[in-house]
Amino acid sequence: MRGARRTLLGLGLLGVLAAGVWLVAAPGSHASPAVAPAPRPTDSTWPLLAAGPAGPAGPAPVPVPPPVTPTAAATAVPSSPAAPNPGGAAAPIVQPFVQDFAGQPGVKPLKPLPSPTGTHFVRPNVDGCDHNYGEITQCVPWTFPPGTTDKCAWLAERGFQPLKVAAADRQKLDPDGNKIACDD
Amino acid sequence: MNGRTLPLFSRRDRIRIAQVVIVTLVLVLAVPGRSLAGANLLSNPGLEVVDSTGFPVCWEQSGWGDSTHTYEVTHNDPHGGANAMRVTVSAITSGDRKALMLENPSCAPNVTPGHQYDLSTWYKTTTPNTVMTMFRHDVAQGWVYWTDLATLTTSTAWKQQTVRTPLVPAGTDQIVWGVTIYGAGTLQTDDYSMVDATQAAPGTSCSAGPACTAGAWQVMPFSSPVRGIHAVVLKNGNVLLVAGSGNDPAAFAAGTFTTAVYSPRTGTFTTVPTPADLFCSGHVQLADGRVLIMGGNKAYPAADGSHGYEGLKDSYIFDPDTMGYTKVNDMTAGSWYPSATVLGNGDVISLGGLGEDSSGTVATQYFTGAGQRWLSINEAHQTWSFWGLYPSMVLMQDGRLFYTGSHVFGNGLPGTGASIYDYHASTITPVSGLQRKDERDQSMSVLLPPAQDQRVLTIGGGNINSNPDANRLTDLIDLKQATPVYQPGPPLPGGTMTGGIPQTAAQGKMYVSAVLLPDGKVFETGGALHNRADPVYEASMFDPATNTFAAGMATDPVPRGYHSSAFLLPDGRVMAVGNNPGDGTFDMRVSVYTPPYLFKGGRPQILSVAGGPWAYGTTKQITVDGPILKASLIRPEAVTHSSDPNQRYVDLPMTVTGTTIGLNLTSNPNLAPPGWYMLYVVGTNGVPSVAQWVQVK
Repeated sequence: MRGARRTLLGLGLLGVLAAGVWLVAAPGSHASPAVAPAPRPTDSTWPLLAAGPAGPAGPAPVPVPPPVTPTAAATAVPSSPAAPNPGGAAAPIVQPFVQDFAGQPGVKPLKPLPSPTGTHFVRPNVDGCDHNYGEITQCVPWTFPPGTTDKCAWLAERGFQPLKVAAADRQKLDPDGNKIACDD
Repeated sequence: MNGRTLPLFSRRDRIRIAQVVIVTLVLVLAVPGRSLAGANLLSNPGLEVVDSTGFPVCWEQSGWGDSTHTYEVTHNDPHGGANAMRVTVSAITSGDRKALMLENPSCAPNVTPGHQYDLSTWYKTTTPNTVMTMFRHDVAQGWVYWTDLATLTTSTAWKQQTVRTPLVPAGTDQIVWGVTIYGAGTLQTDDYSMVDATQAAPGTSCSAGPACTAGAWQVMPFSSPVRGIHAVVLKNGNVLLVAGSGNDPAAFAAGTFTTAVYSPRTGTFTTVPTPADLFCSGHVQLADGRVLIMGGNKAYPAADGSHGYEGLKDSYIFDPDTMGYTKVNDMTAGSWYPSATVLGNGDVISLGGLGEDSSGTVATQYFTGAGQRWLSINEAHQTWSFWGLYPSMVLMQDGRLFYTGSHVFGNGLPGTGASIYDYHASTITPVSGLQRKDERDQSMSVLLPPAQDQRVLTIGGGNINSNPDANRLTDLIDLKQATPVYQPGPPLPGGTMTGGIPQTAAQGKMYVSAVLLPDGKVFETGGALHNRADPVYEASMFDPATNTFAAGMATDPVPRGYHSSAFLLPDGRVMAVGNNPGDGTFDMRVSVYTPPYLFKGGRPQILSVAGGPWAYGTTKQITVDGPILKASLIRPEAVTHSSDPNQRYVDLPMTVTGTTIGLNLTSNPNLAPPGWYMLYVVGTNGVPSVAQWVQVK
């Protein structure tokens, strides 16, 4: 073998060995069996298969880049502000990325209200409790659930003891008028 | 020289070459699967094939808004091959631009639901206002926005950014993605890659019986020393339980107001002097982790009906470090049952409630984080609208507030019962579709995981005025839509009443609790059939990925109706406190729920978290002890009366290098308002880690 040929063959061997070592040692071997193969286009309209409008000679052969697998060296550098930039300058502050959602085209805003001249009334029994009965912390319903026929029985089933009538007997729970509701 | 021409290789050389080739083939074939693992799924990833216009095939120019911009296939210093994409935005007032993979069946890469993919591109950019954006093809909806993955830092040299997608949702068959530029500058990209990075799920075994699927409750062997009507998870993992007078007029009359801090690590309570009656206040964590408390109870209603509840104007800050309250300036109006929503700039808006004279508070009350004070009434933008009591106001990704229709007491607001409120423009626009809007009293709304998906779920409710059986309605809304409209969701699963009596088909719950979990699901628990009466024993797990409830979760043996709360603990369990039925009693027992995921095997460990606060649009490195499925930030709860509009789960797209993971935080503070968050990772077995606390600012 002549020297030039020997060199050429040696370089070829080195290349093949390097490829073999890369294939064996390159990261990515942890990929699971669940990995799906690359989908193959079957659509005849796929522009890379069809004679495309790329010019007289047609589209160039599609280059297939080597698989890109994250490696320690190739993985993205952390984008922390503290990370130095190639230029050495401090990283500029990123502005918020806001999507163009919920513009509500055609939906009219409610008519603006004037500055109030009075108060917005909310009835005293806002909590749905009839404070004519019992202690303030207790809650006799202002309106009993539909279908309730015996209000005192409803209350007793829920742990209420006889209740003082603190004001008017609005719900007629004190027929004997002794200011104790549901004591009959 | 003679005239004989020697061949380039001798016969012996050719035999040796053939031997090497055969050995190489054997080597390649001896490594099964390797080539598949790294297969790039993209068409024309290097942008080398162009069409008649010179633009890369399978790519398109995309974007919206008002900008001056150019797209160019540049041959000047590409990363590989002959072409690179250059997008230049010279001026921009709104919107963005991007080179995007073509949304058609032959160009868009196919994906498999449940799989994850590592997306990678090489880039240079002069502006940090960039983000990797994905769209997915839903077999039912067509192409829809999916999410944003990571901001690219500026770089004058070629740099690679790799980010792992979340699990591909069911019903998705293709995705496209690209790099968005939304600020003035130049972005170059080249050599895109997309590889399947799905990790095998380990076999899971569970020997815990029913708890494997339903989870399990445990009633603690101790009781809370205070009525835990207001519960706030603190930045140190402890829980602030505020009672004030605790719905006890005797305590109010005596000036006995109470607070305790519960430590889940030790199971102990520390009582805290309480300066005012903070019962019925609003509360939210500030950017520094302290808790802003607004309003409270100035007076209980008079028995003769001459006045109702009256709201305090007082406001305090609770500091977890000093375990004490500090007074800030008064609010502009009394606030009994006010809302509290933290904004993307760290400020707080409070709406609704009752004033000092029992009337409805119509002022918009605004706390500035920078000034640490409430603005005067003329400093804040006003609409003079009455928002009701504890209106659920959820911060949207553009800074507006979505009033979900969930509230406490009485009918919904007039009109459709839900709306979008723009504080800066002082406008309120109706949102339609909420079912039976006048029966959503004591319903609960949550921003579904992930916050990036901008969907809200509203659950159940009743009406204290007409007092019907609480309903089992749920409503879903997608705030990504141009005109969001509530859509009916799946009915709440039925439960049982006291004595094990099954609910009827129409019966549901009010005063329900909904808790976001680190696996991305929503645990729904507690509630009652009527106001302060008839507890319902039912719990379920809502999966935002499928919009379904998994019924039959374990139920808290303690009734949890009015004045109860449930919230996520940093260890991934759920704690429940309180119950205040109409007879005036108060249940002081504490329950803790262990979700099914904690019975599935070993928990992943977060071994380290890069120090310092976390800036928007940046990547924080963590190390873990094994393969990780996903990572998230969950804002600690600050809940009362079935209302915590600030509860949110923020997805953290991952850049994975073995057990070192870069977590990419959104650049948009409206998606993750500043503050302390619980950082969770979930292992491939579906088990979450214990949270690490991180500060976003």
